[in-house]
Amino acid sequence: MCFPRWLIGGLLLLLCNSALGQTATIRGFITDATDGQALQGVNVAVTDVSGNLRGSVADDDGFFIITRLQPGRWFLSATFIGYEAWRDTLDLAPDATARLSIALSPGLELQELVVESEREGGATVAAGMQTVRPRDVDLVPAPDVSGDLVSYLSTMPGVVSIGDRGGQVFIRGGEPAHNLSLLDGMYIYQPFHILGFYSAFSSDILRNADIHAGAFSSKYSGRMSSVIDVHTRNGNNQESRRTFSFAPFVSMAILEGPVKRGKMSYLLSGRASTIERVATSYISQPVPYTFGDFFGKIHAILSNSHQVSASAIHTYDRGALDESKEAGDQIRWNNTAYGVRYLVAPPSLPMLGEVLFSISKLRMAIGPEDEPVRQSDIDGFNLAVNLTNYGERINVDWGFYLRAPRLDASLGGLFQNLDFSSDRILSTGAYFEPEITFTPSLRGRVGLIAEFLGDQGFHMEPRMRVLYERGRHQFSLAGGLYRQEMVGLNDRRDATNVFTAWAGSPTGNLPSSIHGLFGYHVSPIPGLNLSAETFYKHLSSLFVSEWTAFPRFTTRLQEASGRAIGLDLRMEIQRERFYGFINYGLSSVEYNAMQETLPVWFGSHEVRYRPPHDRRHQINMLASFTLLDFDVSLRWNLGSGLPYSQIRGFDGFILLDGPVDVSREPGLARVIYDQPFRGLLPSYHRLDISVDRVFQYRDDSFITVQAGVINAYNKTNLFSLDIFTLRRNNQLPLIPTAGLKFEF
Amino acid sequence: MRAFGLNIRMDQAPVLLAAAILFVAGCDQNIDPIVGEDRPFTIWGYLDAHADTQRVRVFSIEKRLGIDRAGPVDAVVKSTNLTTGETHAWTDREIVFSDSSIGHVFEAVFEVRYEERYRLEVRRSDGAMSGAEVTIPPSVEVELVDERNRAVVPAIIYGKPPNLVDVSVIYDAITLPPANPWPPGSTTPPAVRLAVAVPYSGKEEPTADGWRYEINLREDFEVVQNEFDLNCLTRDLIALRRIDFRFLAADEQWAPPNDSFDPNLLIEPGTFSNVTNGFGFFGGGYTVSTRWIPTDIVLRNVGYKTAGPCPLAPQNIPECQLPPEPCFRDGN
Repeated sequence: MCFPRWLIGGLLLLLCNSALGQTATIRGFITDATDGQALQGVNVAVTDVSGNLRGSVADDDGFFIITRLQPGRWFLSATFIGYEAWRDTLDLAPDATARLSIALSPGLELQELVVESEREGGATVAAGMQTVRPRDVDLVPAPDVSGDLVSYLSTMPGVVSIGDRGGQVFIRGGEPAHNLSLLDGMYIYQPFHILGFYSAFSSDILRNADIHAGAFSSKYSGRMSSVIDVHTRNGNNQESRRTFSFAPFVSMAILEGPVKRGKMSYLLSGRASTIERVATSYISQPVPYTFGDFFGKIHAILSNSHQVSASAIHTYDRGALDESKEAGDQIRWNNTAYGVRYLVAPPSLPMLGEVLFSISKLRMAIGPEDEPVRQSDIDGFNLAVNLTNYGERINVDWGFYLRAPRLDASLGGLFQNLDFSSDRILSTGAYFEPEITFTPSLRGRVGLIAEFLGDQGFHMEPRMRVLYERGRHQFSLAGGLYRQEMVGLNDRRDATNVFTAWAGSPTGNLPSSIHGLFGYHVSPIPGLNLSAETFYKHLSSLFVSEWTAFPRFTTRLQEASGRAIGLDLRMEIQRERFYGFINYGLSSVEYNAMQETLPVWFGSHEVRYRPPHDRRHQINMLASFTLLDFDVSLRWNLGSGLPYSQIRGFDGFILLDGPVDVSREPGLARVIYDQPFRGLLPSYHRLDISVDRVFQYRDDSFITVQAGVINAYNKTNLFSLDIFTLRRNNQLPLIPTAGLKFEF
Repeated sequence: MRAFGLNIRMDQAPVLLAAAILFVAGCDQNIDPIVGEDRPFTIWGYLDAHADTQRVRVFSIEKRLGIDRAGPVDAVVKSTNLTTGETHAWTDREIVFSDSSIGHVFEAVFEVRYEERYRLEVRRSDGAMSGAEVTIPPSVEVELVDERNRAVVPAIIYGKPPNLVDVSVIYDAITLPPANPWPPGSTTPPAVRLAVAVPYSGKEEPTADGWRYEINLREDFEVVQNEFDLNCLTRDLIALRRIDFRFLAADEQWAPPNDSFDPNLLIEPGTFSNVTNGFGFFGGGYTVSTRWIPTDIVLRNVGYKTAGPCPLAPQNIPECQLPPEPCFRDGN
């Protein structure tokens, strides 16, 4: 394979960008002195004796870099909310690179001054991307003392969850299989637990999560709709800590501490569901769910230029989503992933690089444990090298990757017109995405991915993002072409059927999408953030269940295209003792299916319909305040009804393909459907409340007591409806919860 | 903050939130996914010009899943000969099929005439009615040209029925038995008879008087062998008992979309239907069949056996005493 000319040109540009000639560089990592955690968002400023000011902000790894400094004396300050400022004086020689390791100690003097500007909250979204921190997650009421990322995700406009179970999240029209979920660079194919309050991403292990609802950058490839890029924190490298929590739904334990003080740490976390043993005893409906996850991470600081971490995770889920099904019809899945991340800031180059290698597995099955009716396995590795070259006005992100998931499915005839077999899909590619600061208020990125996909050949995916800031106003524009090399096939005629079979494209056509979005953000007064973002996604080569009057449990697949269009509105309020937001999501998703039989059935070669996840309106409100030393959180969620296919009636069918004796031929039961997905299920709304208080009983020991209620006014929300028997499965009723958390 | 003309303080937000919740908390909705169908019946069947009793299956379109149930169906069925005005009332016969399901088949004892037009009406007690009209195709004759002495037999159909449905040649074949029964001790040799139907629909050529088919015994023999293979029967000892050429002479409406009786397509309501204010199909036609036995010379030329390798009486020939080889096929 020849390297494209643009890639060679880009590398030359990087070399030119790197040739700084007679200037000096300051770079380093910033951590919290008490536990060694990387500190993101620290402001680093340097001034020379003439008063010239240059600055940088620490990234997610706590890394900062300031290039092209004139040799001489520079005064450095690193400031961050809640921490004592770090000051230093540096004498820089020509071509020198000052490599610093800055450990900030907690302090109070800045806290009251900059609290509002430092928060990245519910309305801080730029070009489809929102960074979520653990403190945001912990605000959302959940039946646990700790928060979970999925609870926060469900408060975001444009994110649709079918129900409070099933582990299915749809982001801005994209299906779950169109979403890329990464944990420290490891692929997690089914990251959400069977009960909708939980995922593999507990807030207790979270450092931050970047949620790209669309139009994401060139660093991410292989999925066509959205990205959830989760980074875990490191273990405490100063002292050993233990955390245990107990609640009716899940219980958890975390162990962490230094392996080598200040240099190397470990973090072990385990969660196991208790709902089937504890909560079942006082909930009025069966909750036969078992789930849990184990996570481990070792992080080492090799020098002030090199860090390495190794992570591993295992999750498990088991349960029956349809209450009428027997134990043998349970669905279950396991994720297992191992990964290594090597972070390097080369001494002589203004560059930060990471090398990621991971192995990820998913096994999903339905039916008896020893003889599943259907099964789908993924087993593959991912190697990625991501590099950033820093210049004065141009930072260049570039890198390359190789991944090769092996897919194996045994579906028991679920998709009748497909022949599944073991398949390894090789994809390798490179990307190049410079970020150019045109003016202090205007910066943009233009990226390109060149990807080679085995039998599918060579593909290019252009991407772009532009941010413009003027005073309190921020405008963003982004778009691009997105493609994925494998598909997740799901029979969405039944909401309780969450089994997803991963395979190569059944027709050879790669699913792809084109994204465009435009956003606006403003802070009209201190403490108030408003944002609006409109988006469009054109979706191609989707695979959906075909329409048939057979009332059967298997289906044939048909190819479809689609589009998602919508508007997200957010208002966020931050006061000294109150935090809250209101989100409204307006969305319209339409699929356009093409099926051989459509012309004779509908009189047209295509049928347009709203897929079952097209929730047109969604409102989320969150209020968090302190009352008598108790932290109170309320979350209310309203979603308009989801589409479903109505039925006109039932009759029978006899195939008259010859001289059939109708007195001997029993025929087949038949469903006379109305036009697909013309009906609407009832709207959904629910109020969750939690109250918690932290008690300190020694200098470094805490007890958190939490109480709450899920579905506070006991709304009977529909989860699924069997249209053949008219039997409904409801979502969770009113559930009181309580929990204890010990940290010492 | 000012919204909708109201001054709202930020610390009032929890109160507003609670008010909004109370506003919607009382709402609850029931759901009925069955929107109902005005058309009352689905009809399947045909008028058979070669039968003295006519039959039609009637489904009442209902709001619950399941083929017909036991008990009377609210339907009155009547047919009218639109050429002569003769009418017949059909009687409901509740049938329990081999799979234990129940169906309502309406019957009337009368013979239909070629090229006459009939109307069938199925009426509910409230007056709702489904119906269909059909014209019986004209009479036809079939001639096999020199049928006994050739491997390719022309079949000529005189007459012009609008459609020929399910045209097929049925080979009534049998495996020749070995000399010794297997397993030892049994008395009946394991001869197996298998009728193999080879479809000929779409292979017709129009002639001035009708249609012409070329029945190719040699090509069809491969189909027969494959069928014996699939049934775990030896393909090397196939004898032929007789051949049937058979088709349904059908009315002009008995033509599925795309010229294919694809059940995945035809099951969709309305895709193959001539029933007004209802679903299903009501046709007219009759079965035509002709039979012959080729000569031994033709059979041997094609590949059929006319004598087995072993005598029928038990003999001490080693190869005739070998047990049958095991055969494993998908599904066996």
